[in-house]
Amino acid sequence: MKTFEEKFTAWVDGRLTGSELAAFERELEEHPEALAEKEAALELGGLLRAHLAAPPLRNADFFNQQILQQIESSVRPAAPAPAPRRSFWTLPRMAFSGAFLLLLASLLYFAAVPNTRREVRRDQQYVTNVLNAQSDDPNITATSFHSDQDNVNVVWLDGLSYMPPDHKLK
Amino acid sequence: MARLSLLAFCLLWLAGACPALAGEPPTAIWSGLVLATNNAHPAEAPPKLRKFAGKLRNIFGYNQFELVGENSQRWEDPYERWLIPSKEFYMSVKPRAERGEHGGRHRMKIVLFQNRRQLAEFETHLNGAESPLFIRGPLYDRGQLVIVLHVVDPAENPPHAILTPFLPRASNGD
Repeated sequence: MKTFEEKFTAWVDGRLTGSELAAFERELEEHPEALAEKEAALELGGLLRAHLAAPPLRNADFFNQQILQQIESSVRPAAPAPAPRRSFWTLPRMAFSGAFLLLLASLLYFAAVPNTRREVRRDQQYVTNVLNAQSDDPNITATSFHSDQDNVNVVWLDGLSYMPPDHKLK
Repeated sequence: MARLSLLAFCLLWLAGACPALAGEPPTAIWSGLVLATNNAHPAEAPPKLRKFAGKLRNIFGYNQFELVGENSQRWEDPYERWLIPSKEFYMSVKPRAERGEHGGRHRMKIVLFQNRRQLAEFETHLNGAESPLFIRGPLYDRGQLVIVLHVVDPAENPPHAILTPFLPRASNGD
């Protein structure tokens, strides 16, 4: 048994025929506004069909592929999260490596450096020597030499002015 | 990666800081202005010159030595000091980086002045009295002026600084 609304909708859509149409039209005699509502509904349907057509897709294949991928990813069970990667350089290993490198550096220092900078010849250990001697005064020449016999180094300045005895030194 | 960088930074810092942390022993240098002359009856050298008298005689050929003036300075830092054995002759002395590295020798940069005139500059490894440094100065009267330098025991030389010889100030008069 159809309700009045169902029959009204079918009547508007033109799907009532025969005795069913005649019986409903007799019912409508009690509803004179029904004809105006039918015309309004038909007009509204025509406007919707004319103006609300779906826009054509420019990349329909791509759109479909995206939709399919989303569907597949939602259907596929989630993969288990990867285990957190542990760094090789833990604190104990860092401490051990630091101590080892310090030891290695110390061994290298004492093994290699004596041959270059640290080592001093035994006979030079207690000898004063002059690395360079110079004078900005063009009248003065500065030279140096070492006396092995006396174990003394001398900076020899030539060109200095003679000092007379009346010149007080103290 | 961050931990590795931290480790490398600490090692580099240690490598650079260890020599500085090790510290350096104090240094003291004695300087004396000596007048060397020849005398038919030479007087005995003063006590502070006796150990050098033979060396002075061999090097310069004089037989009498008089200590005109002396001055010593002590270093506990790498800064410049002035050695002023007399008001006429003085020296700016600055320790170099490798001070004390060579078995007790001390590398110094020395600039010698006569009054305010710079005579010469040189770098030297100074040592103790067994291996002094002589600087031949000008001729004076009938003799020769010689400046003697050598390292002495820092414990016998309290630290004090003479900032500049251009201001009147008495030497320590050792």
